[in-house]
Amino acid sequence: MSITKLWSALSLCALLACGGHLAPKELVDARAAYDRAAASNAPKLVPAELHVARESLDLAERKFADDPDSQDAIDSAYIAMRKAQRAEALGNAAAASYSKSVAEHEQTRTQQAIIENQQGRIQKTESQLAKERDTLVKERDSLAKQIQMTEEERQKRMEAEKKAQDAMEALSKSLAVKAEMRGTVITLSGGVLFATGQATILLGAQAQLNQVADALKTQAEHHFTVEGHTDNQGTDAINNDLSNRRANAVRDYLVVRGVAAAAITAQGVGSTRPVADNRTTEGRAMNRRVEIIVDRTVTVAN
Amino acid sequence: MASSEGAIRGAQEAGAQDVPAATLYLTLAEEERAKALALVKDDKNHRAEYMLARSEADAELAVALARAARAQAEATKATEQVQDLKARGGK
Repeated sequence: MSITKLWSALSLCALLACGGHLAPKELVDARAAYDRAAASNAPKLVPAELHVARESLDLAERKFADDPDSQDAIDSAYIAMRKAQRAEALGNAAAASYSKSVAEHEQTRTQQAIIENQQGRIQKTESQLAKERDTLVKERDSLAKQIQMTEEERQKRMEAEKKAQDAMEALSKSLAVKAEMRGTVITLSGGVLFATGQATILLGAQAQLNQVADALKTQAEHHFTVEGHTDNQGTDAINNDLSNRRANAVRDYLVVRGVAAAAITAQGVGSTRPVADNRTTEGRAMNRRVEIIVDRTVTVAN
Repeated sequence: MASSEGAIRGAQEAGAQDVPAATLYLTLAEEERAKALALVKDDKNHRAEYMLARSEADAELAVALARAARAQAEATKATEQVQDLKARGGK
């Protein structure tokens, strides 16, 4: 049986017991207030307070049954109504306190989750930064090494250039050395190097060629061209062949003396490029020559 | 008489005068207590006793309502803080 039905039955009994007297407004309100309290959070959260309200209502009912018209019955009903209202209010307060504690617990969990999330982000960022720092350190070390190597190479190049310059200056004291558009040209007299009409290097010329070889070895990054030249005596065919053989003879000698074979080529140009008048004896002597050209451009890596 | 006075003081200390739902009952309790004192003077002690009981019941209801209002406000605030925290934490 529901509480409402129970109260209806009790009210009917009370009405009959009270000789047909209608319950005062205060008692009707007290019953309704108790019903509301019984249907609220009170039974679950503040059962003791609801029990007090129940006892108070029972007292009011007894007072009404004893003397339906008395002020005591009205006051008892009034007090019972307040006790029921109080039980309901305290039930609501307890429910609110529970909600608050749930929210606070949730707040703590959320804060913990946020902190863990932020810690995770921080760790990730720190890890990335550590990686970037390592990469930067490696790059810095590599760069420092490159700078050091570049500096060492620069020093070596400067030393090599100085050595080459010194060698060429030393060479220029005994041989004709000229700077031209095509490069530095070392000129050796054909009369000193070869017997007339021959392409075999004379023993007396070897010291001069050794000096040239030493100078060329100091300029390993350059390419060299050995050119053979003749005067205009004889046929072009003979002169071309002779100049070619003489150029190759000088080239081979220089290679034997340590000049890199890949860095040196030889060619004969016959009488096509005289430097003096072929009508005179001195002019022809000057035209019979071997030129070694040190190319201006750097072509061979050291 | 003392229990009525104590209940009224308790309601005041609970801040019932600042809670609209509780103010009415605190006022009723004070008025009923005043009526009870007048009844005592008139030697109507039985009626005074009931009036004091009503006063005490009203004061206790005022305390309960003030407590419920405060608890509800705190619960609402805590819930809002959680929602705000979740909203900020998600960004």
